[in-house]
Amino acid sequence: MWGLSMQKNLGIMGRVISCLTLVLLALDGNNRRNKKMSDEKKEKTAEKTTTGLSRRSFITGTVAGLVVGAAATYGATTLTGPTAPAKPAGVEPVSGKTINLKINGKPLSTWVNARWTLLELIRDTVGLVGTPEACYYGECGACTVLVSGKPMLACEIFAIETNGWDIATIEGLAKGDKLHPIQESFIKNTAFQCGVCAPGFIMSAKALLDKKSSPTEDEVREAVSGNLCRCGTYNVVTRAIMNVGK
Amino acid sequence: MGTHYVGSLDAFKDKINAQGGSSLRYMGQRVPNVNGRGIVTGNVKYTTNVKVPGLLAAAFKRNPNGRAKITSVDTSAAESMPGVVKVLTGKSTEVAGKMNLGDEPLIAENDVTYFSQIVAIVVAETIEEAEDAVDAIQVKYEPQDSITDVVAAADKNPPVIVHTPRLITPPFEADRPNVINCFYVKSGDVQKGFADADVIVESEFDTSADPHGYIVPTSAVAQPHGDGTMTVWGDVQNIHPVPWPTAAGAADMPMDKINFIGPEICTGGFGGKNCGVPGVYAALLAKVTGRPVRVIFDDTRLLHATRPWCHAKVKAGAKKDGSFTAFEVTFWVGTPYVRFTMTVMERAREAITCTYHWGHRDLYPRPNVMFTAYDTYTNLCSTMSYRGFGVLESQFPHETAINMLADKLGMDKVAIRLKNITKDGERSAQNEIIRSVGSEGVFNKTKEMMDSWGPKPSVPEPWVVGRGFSGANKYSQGDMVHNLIFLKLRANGIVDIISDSMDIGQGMNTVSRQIVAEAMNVPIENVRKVEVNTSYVPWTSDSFSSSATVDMGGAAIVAAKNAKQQLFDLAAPKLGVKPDQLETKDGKIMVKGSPDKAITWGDAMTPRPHMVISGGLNDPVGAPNDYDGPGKNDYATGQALGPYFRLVMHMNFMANGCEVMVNKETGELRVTKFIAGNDVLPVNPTLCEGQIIGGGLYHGMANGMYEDIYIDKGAYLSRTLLDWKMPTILDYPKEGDTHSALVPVWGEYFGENPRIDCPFGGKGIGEGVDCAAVPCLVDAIHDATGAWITTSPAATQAKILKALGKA
Ligand code: FES
Ligand code: FES
Repeated sequence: MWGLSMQKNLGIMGRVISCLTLVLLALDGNNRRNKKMSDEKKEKTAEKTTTGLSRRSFITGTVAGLVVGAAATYGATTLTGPTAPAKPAGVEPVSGKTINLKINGKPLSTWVNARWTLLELIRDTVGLVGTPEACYYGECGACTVLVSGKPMLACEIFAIETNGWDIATIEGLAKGDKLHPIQESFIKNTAFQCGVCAPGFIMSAKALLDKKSSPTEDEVREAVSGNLCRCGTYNVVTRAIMNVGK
Repeated sequence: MGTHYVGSLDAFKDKINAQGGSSLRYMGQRVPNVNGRGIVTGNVKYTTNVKVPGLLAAAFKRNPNGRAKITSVDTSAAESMPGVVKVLTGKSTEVAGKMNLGDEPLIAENDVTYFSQIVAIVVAETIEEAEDAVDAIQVKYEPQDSITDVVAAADKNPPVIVHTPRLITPPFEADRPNVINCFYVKSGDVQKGFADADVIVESEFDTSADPHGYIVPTSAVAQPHGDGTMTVWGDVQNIHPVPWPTAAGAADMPMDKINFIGPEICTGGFGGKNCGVPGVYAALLAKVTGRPVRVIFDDTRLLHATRPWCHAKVKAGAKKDGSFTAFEVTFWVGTPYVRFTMTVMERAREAITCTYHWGHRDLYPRPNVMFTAYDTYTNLCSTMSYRGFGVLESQFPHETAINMLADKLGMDKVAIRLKNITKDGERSAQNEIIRSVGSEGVFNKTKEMMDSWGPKPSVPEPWVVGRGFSGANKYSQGDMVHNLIFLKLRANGIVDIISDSMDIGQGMNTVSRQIVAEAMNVPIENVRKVEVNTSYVPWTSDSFSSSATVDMGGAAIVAAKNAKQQLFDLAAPKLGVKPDQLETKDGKIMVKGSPDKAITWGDAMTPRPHMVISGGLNDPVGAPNDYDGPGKNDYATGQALGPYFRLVMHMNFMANGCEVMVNKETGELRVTKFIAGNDVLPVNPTLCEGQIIGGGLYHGMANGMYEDIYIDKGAYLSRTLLDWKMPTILDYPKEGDTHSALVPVWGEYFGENPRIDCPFGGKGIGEGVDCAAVPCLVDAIHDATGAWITTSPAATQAKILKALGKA
C-alpha cells in the first residue's frame, strides 16, 4: 500500500509523512510507482482534496492534541521575524508555546504558533530561507532537513513538536567560506538547474554519506528517491554524490 | 558515466570571431554555473524569499466541479472572521467585468467553465486566517454538462456551447460555435500523393493535459507604496510581455507605475510561469487593500495550467522506396479560455512542415500537405505553454506515423527519415525557407551511438526488450522587436549586463556572461548581471520558446560591437593611432601587433567612471531586420509570404533513441537506455546537456510514461505530484544509461531578405527533446511488443496492457 511504499521510497522521511492522516486519506492506494487508482479511490481522492479541507485547517484539528499544556498567548514570544503576526485587535490569541531547540548548532528559544510547520519556523522566524518552500505537501523533498542526522521533511513537521530537537539546514553545512565537500561536488558536477531542489538533495546525501562514505549507485538513488527534481537533474545528482571528495 | 558527445567548434571559430568573438575564449566552454555557490548554500534570491513588512496573505476559493452555474456565494461568515482584511467575489466592484488574458474573468461571477476556477478570494493577516475564512465561504453550484471531448466540441452542433459570444470570430468555419480559430496548411496535391502511395498509414492520437510539475508553485508579492506606485515580485519566466501588463491591468494602474521584478532564478518554468498569474492577483489585492499581499497558488496546484488536450487524426503515404508522398492531419485542441492555445496550433503547423519534405522533391514540385486545426472552447483545465507550443502534440503523431510507415515498408527508421529530410534552403509546405538544418548529422550521430549498444540484451520471460527512434524539431520564436540590451562598462574593466533575460534553470545567468565575456574579451569573473525589472532594465528577450540565448546573444553582440567602437574612438587620439588599429583584452585597449602600446578602459573613458552602451538587433529602430515583417502568412493556405518567407526565427532538430523493457504480463515498462541528440553549437556544453537530458529526456519520459490525468465530468481527480506520479530518480535510467550528442551546426534564421546569422552561431535547445521522447518510447514499445500506442502519456501500465489486449 501507499504508506509502505512511501516508507521505502523516502527512507526515514516516510515515517514523518505517514503520521499525516490527511496525506494518507488523500492518497490511500495511490502508489506513486505506476499503480492505477480504482474508481472508488478516485472518488475518495476527489472528495478529500477538492474543497474546503486545506492543509492548514487540518493542522488545527490535529495539533489540538499536541498543544495540551502549551502557553496559549503571545505574551512569552521571542518571535522577531519579519512575518511575526501583530496581534489583531479583538481577536482571540492563537494557541502556541515556547520551544527550545538547536538549529545548526545554535540554541534557539522561541514562541511558535501551534499551526506553524517547522519549515515556517526555519524560514519565517529564524530567517534561514535556504530550505525552500516548495510543494508544501510532503511530496517533493526540497525542504529536507536533518534531525539528529536523519532526513525529514520540514513542511510536514509541526514546529511545536520540535522542542529539544537538533536540526541541521543547508546553511549549516559550510564552515565559513569553506563549502562542505558535497556542496563542492554539486558545483563541480553542475548537479542543478533552477537549483531549488538542490538543498534537499544535499541534505539527503549528507545523511547517507555520514552513514556510509562510499555508497553504491543504488544506495545513492534510494537515499535521494524522496527528492523530486522537475528540471530532471537525476543523472548529475547521482554523479555528484558518487564523486564527493574526488 | 553516460556518453556525452560534443562536436568540435573549431570549424566555426572564424565565423565567431567575425561577429566579434575572442577565439572561443568562452564560447563552447564548460564554464561552471555562476549561481552554483548560491544554489548549494541556499542563497539564491527566489521570489518565495521576498518578504516585506506587514505582508498580507491571500487564499482562493476554487470551483470543485467542471462546468456549473453559481447560484449563490455567501461570504458573511468569512468576512467577520479573525484577521480577515478583504473578501472578493465575482460581484465585487473591484473586479466586475475585469478579464485576464482576453476572455477569462479574474473571479467567476455567474458561471464556472473549468475545474479549479477562482470563485472568491480572501485576504487576511496570516495565511492560516485566510484559509480558515475561505473554508467558511459557502458557494452553491448547479452543475451543468461539461464538454471534454475536443472533437465533439468543435462540431457544428456541439452538445454544449461553452461561451457566448466568442472572443474571436474566425473568418472561416464560423458555424462551429465553440471554435476559437482555425489554422490551415494547403500545399501541393494531397489526393494525388495518396493515389501514388504504395503504403498508407492512418491513425488517431491523443495527447492529454499535462501540468508543468514545477515543485515550487508559482507565486508573487505586491507592495503598494502609497504614492500611486507599486512593486510586484513574481516567480516568472519573463517580465515584460505578459506579467507586467496583466498585473497593471488587474490593479487598474498605468504600467509605468508598476515595477515588476523577476527572481534571480525562476524556480522552474517549463512554460507554466510565462504569464505569472499570481502577480495579477497580488497586484489586484494590494491595490484593493492598500497593503502588501503575497499570493501563492498552492491548492490543487497541478491544475492551474496544463498543456492543452489534443486529438489528432493522421494519414501518411509513401512509395516502396520510402519516398514520402503526402501527409494529412486534423488537430483539435481544447481550452476553457483562449490563453495561448492559438499559438499551440500555429506552432504545431511548423512542427509538421519543417523536418521532412512530405511529397518527395524527386516526385513533386511542392510538398503535399493538408493541415487543419480547430482551437476549441471546452470545459477542460486551464491551459498554458509547456515546453513547445503544440510541438509534443504534433511531433508525437507525426513521428509515429513515420515509424509506422517504416515498419510497413520494412525500412530502417533512420534511413526513411534521411531520404525525406528537408535540406538547407528548401521551402517547406508552408513556403518558409528552411535554414540551418542539422537533422542529418544528429540522426546519424544518434544512430551511431545506439549501434554501439550492441545486440539487445536477453531478458527473462515475460519481459521483452525493444528499441525506438524518433526525430523531431522545435521552433524558436524570438522577439526581435524588443531586442535591446545595455552594457555598463566600468573604468576598472568590469561589465554589467543590464537585460531582462531570465534564468529559469537553463543557465541564462551563466550563458549571458559567457557571450558578453567572449564579445568584450574580458575574464568572465568581470562580467555581472543586474536584477531583472521593468523600471530600468530593457526588454531583451523572453525565456520561452528556446529563444532567450539567441535573442539575448544577438543584442549583446551588437552592444559589444558598439562598446568597442566607442572605447576605440576614445582611445585612438590618446594612443596616436586610428580606431581601427586597436583591439581590447582584459580591460585594456592596445594597438594591434604592439601590445605594449596600451591604455586601460579607465584611461580611455576618463574622466567618466563608466559608460552605458546599448545595442540590439532592432536598434536603432527601423533597422533592416525589423521583425514586424516576418511571421505573415496567408490564412487559408498557411503559406508564408515574402519578402521574408520566415514564420519562426529558426528551428533546432533532434533525435531520440531508447531501449526499453516491457513486461507482457503486467504492462510494466522500464527505460534502460536513453539518448538525445541536438543540432546545436553549444555556448556551454554542460548546460546544454542539462537541458537535453533533464528538461528533454526527463520531461519526455515523464510526459510519455507517467502523469496520467483522471477526469470526471470536467472535475480533475489527479491533483498532487503524488496522484500524478511524477517519476522519481528510481524511475529514471541510471547515470551511465543516459547519453547525449551535441552536433554543432551554424545557426541561421529561416527565410531571407535579410539572411540572419544567430549570435556566435548558437540556436535554441532543449524543449524539442521532450517532444521526441514520446514517439521514441512508443516506437520502442512497438519494437518490443508489436503494439502501437497512440496516447500520451503512452506507457502507463494500463495503456500497455490495453494495447496488448490484456485489459
Ligand atoms: S516542500 Fe516539503 S516536501 Fe515539498
Ligand atoms: S533543479 Fe529545478 S527542480 Fe531540480
